[in-house]
Amino acid sequence: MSSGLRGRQDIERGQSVKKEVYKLTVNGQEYELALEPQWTLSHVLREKLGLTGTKEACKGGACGACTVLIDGKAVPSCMVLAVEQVGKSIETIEGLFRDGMHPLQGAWLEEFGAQCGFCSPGMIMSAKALLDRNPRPTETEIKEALAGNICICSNYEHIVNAVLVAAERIQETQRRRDHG
Amino acid sequence: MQSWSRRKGFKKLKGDGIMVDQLSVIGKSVRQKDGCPRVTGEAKFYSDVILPDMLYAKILRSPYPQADIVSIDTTKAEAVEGVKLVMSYRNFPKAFRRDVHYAGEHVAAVIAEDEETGEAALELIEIEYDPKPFVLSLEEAIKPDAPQVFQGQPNSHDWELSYYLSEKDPETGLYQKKELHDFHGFGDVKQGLKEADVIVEETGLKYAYCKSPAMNPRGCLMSYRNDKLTVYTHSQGMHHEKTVLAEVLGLSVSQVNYVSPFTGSSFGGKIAEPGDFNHPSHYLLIAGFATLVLQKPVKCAYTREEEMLCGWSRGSLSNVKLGFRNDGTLTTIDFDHWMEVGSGGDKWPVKNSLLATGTTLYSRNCKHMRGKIRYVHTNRFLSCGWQGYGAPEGHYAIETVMDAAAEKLGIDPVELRKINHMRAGDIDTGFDPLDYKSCFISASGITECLDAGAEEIDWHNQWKPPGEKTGRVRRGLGVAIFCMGAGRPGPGNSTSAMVKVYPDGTVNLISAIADLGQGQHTVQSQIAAETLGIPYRNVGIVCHDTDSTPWATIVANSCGTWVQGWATYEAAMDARRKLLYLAAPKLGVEPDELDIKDGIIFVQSDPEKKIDFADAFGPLGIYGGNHEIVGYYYHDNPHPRCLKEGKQGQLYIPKEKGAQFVSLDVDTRTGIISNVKVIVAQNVGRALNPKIVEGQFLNARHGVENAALGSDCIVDPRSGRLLNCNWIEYRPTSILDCEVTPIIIEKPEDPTHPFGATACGEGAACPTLAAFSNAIYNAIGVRIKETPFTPDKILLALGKTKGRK
Amino acid sequence: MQRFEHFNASTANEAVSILNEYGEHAKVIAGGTDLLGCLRDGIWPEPPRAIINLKTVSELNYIAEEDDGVRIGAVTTLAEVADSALIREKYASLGEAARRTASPLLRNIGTLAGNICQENRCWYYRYPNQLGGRIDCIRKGGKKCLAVQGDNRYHSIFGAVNKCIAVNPSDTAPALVALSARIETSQRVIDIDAFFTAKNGMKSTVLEEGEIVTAIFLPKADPGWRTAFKKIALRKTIDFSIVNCAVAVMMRDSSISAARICLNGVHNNPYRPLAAEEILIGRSLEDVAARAAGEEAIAHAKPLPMNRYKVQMAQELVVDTLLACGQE
Repeated sequence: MSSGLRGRQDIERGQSVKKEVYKLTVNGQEYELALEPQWTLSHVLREKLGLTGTKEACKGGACGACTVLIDGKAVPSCMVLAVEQVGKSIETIEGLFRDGMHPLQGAWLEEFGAQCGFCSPGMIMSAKALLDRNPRPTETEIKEALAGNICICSNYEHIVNAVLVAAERIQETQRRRDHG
Repeated sequence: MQSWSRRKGFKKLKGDGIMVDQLSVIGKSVRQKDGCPRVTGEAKFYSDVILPDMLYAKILRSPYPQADIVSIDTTKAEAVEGVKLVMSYRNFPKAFRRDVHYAGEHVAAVIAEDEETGEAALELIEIEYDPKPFVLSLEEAIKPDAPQVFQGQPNSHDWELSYYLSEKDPETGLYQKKELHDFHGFGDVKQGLKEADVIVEETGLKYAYCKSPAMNPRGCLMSYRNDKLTVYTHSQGMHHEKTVLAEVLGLSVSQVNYVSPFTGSSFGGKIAEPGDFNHPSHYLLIAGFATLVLQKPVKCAYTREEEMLCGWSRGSLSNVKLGFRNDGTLTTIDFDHWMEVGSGGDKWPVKNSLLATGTTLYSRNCKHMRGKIRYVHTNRFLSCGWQGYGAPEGHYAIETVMDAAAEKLGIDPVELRKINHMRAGDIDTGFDPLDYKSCFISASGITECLDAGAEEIDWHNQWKPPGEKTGRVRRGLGVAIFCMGAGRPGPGNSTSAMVKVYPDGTVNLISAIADLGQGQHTVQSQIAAETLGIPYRNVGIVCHDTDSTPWATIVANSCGTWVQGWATYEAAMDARRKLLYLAAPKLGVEPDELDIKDGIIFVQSDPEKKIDFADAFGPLGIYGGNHEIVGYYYHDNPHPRCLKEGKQGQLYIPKEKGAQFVSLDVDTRTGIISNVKVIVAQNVGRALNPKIVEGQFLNARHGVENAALGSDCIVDPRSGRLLNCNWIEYRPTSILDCEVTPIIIEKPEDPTHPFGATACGEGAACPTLAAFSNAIYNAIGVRIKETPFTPDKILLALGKTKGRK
Repeated sequence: MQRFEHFNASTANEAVSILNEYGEHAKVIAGGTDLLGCLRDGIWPEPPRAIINLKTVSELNYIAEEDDGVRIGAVTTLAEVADSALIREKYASLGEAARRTASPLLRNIGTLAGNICQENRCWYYRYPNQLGGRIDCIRKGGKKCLAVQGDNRYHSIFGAVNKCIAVNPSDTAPALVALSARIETSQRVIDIDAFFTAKNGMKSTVLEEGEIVTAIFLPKADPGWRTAFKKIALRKTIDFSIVNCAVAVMMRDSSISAARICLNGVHNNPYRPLAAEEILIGRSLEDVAARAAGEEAIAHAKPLPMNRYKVQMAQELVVDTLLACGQE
């Protein structure tokens, strides 16, 4: 006969839960939230702010489903602590839907960029970070930028097409603005 | 922007009153009906639903691969502040067993206010185990002295429903007699091998125990309010699961509402049978019982590690012997196959391994067939069918040996397939029809797929035998074909749909058929729009839960488009007939003189005589009038169109079928494979939505994953623990790892579907491993018979390293 | 994840002082890509009670060119290292190693210092507590290394260190070794060759309790130095290396006057095959010499039953990386 797991001491640590109030800026809006230090940003976005567009598929930084932009950089929000994001500008998929769909979202619909859709928010945010810094990416540059985003439905070819279409549209809009 | 897919159209088919040349919605890559929420993030998967006072379940798992639980003490865990319930076999015997059969099996659960409290409380549960001997591999488990996974049962089970078929009708070719036997087949294999000019044999073809793909780990959230249990989850078949769950929980069926509008991909692997320990669906019972007891919402969501552990696996071992005439005619197949089911799982997939054999894929010339199939228990996590449901394993074995045969016969591998693959009208003696002894295959087009793929990869110019390859990096080309089951055409595969037509010309399609990302909601909407003659944008879909929808079949076995397609079509036709019946008197004609286009009802012989839907409906008021027309159809296979000339004993059986080619480079010094290209060519009859069909073909990547990226559930040999239980050590294919080129072939010879479409879903997973293995052989001249084809195996095959002792 | 207290340090000294206060019960967090994984999987019997954030120490985030070399602050991200024109120009192998690490998302938060201080990836060491209980191997104070008789296909080919046969998984570490980097800490400066735990397999580095890396210094490279980095992994992204290799060779009049080779993924610590380096001296950088070095590099390999293939890989990788230097 042998016993299973060892019993765990210091449950008291779990009982005296410390929450302090932090200010987080998400999609241009400031929120005051009581946060526990070990909460990841993805957990806080989803469960405390109800912004469930950001998905959690692995919670290990290995799949990119939780990608958000922090100060313009695409990061896996399951691998950063919410309490450490004070003073930063956080952008989620919900933030793209302003004055209608972002060109990436429209392109995603046209090119069938989403099959089950679970990777789509993270994939779109990674693509946005790419287009913000490189408005005319090649196919290779797109793949390298999205290399941290897994699509289990294997929809990569459609996704690349969607990014190319979106880039074209954004450039076209820019051209019209410049000339008009 | 590059367009990389091609469709090769052939003749057009005239359908049932609907002129296919005039199709306006079918055949177009319209946008996903429910695409917007997916790209805006508004789509609520079960894990996105957050309810007030929600509690969280955390599961305690066994450290032993085989043990009895001697005692369990949950007092300390229960005393933790924030813990609401601790569950085990003692208070919830339907959800937890007293014996464990794989390392990591669930033994208890804590329901708590937050996850941290739940995790901490788990550690206070005291369990005394009595560990027992265990067995961790298929090869070990089939040995006679292996420890028994289930006491009193041998580990290896012969498949119980093998039949011997005989008495072929000289006119139809269908078998007339089917008797239970210890193998499945027909003819006389011994005789066949004796008469064969060339025999090719391979043993020990191993398909490693790999994991079903799922982007969203499984789980559920349940809430019990006002005498109603709402189940938020992912489901491939809401209605059946609801019925089973209600029974297990002791509720009536009407008290349970299943909500599953979005599923984060499942590829067949998330089929749930609550209460059945052979299915990894205990999250339903944990949350269900806890919700009922606590009267608060309970979320039981797997982590990625739990999904890696509990989600279904699959793996097998095969021996194959093929007998040929000198001209390449494949006359005899002798097939031995063992499928690992772990400590549970579903035994049915093993039958599908036969799809690649003389029962179906090679039934054209095969006169003698012996398929001896077994399923084997081990002390590993559950295994079952997903994306191919047993067929990929069979195809891997047969198509690898076909490649060896091509070499021995001196025939090009593509030509050898062309000589032997099934054609439309050939016989299928597989298990799908159940009640039928054998059936006619409704369509093929495999030759056209081979030709298209060969052209794309420049096979005839680029293919060279391995002996001619030189240099450090060697390129190899491989090919494999497949055919996969598509629904169960005999009785037992049923579904329904409802269509509501409104006076403003819009329609709601009410259908519970699950959209896992494979596009069902879109395609069914297209069928409804086409049948009713209205624009696609005028169709809405109501699909979210079981309360609001009629029964729909499970999406499995690639049957959604086909089986549900009939239901949608007939329901729309039902509504259409009612609508035209209303319209006819207003136009002074008979209903069958009318047609509908772009939402306008017109007289076919005088199109200027027309009215819109509102006029057809007539005046509406608060007290009455026709506010809606409801069309409904309950479809039970087979549909009359599936019978040859309407004859009851002569069933057409549709198949998913096609060819794949793989090109890859092998570095003979490091064993690394790179530059992987997969060409996927399938005959879909008609692509109802080409982009969706392409998306299905892209799933060939899963085969690449299984082939090259180390897809193997690696367990520690001494403790049975799953060592690569995350997405870093078990590698889903990334955007950089291979290229896939889909080629859609439309050969409209299939009468079994309203618009001539046949399945495409699981097929992409079937031939990839064989094509990959064949490409490696073509590159380096050594056949690696065990997946995954990792560098260590390649270097060993090349003699660069010595083997294990 | 177990609860902990969180501190934002504003200076390196403050971070050290909090570390000292908590002793062995505190850890620093930079990128967090390794730490959070360990915490979530509950791999340590005693998880830390305090986590100290170094990202708030602004003086630790920089890449500065100085007269005698380049200094990289400890919380500089891998993306910043990979994208730095200065690094790409003068220390190309490090830029390449940083670029090949993990994925673009993880590189945006993971730091260079974190990458060389990270825990190993041995699947026994890192087995998650939630799947049946963590595995208390020798590194955690248990009795033995379970990989020795278990599945060791990714483990050491050069034997154990204090019975542990896990390998160092870093991609940037071998590049830094080949570049003769120096690690500056809150207490001292350590030559990279001494930074990784040579004698004690219980930790990844020689950092003491309460000691943190503050910067990584790359000495100025003579124009004759050529460097290269190569990595073998199954996927082209995300994966840790099966084996990787970084090389720096000094060329004088077309012959090699000095060489530093570092293999990783092959031993508890980044591995310098000194005999392979010596065999190159005085020879020209071409196939024959590279092959000789490759053979010498694995001459003392002690493969395990499941990882013989790694010996072959390591040998070939040394050859390939050396020849890549010649193509600069």
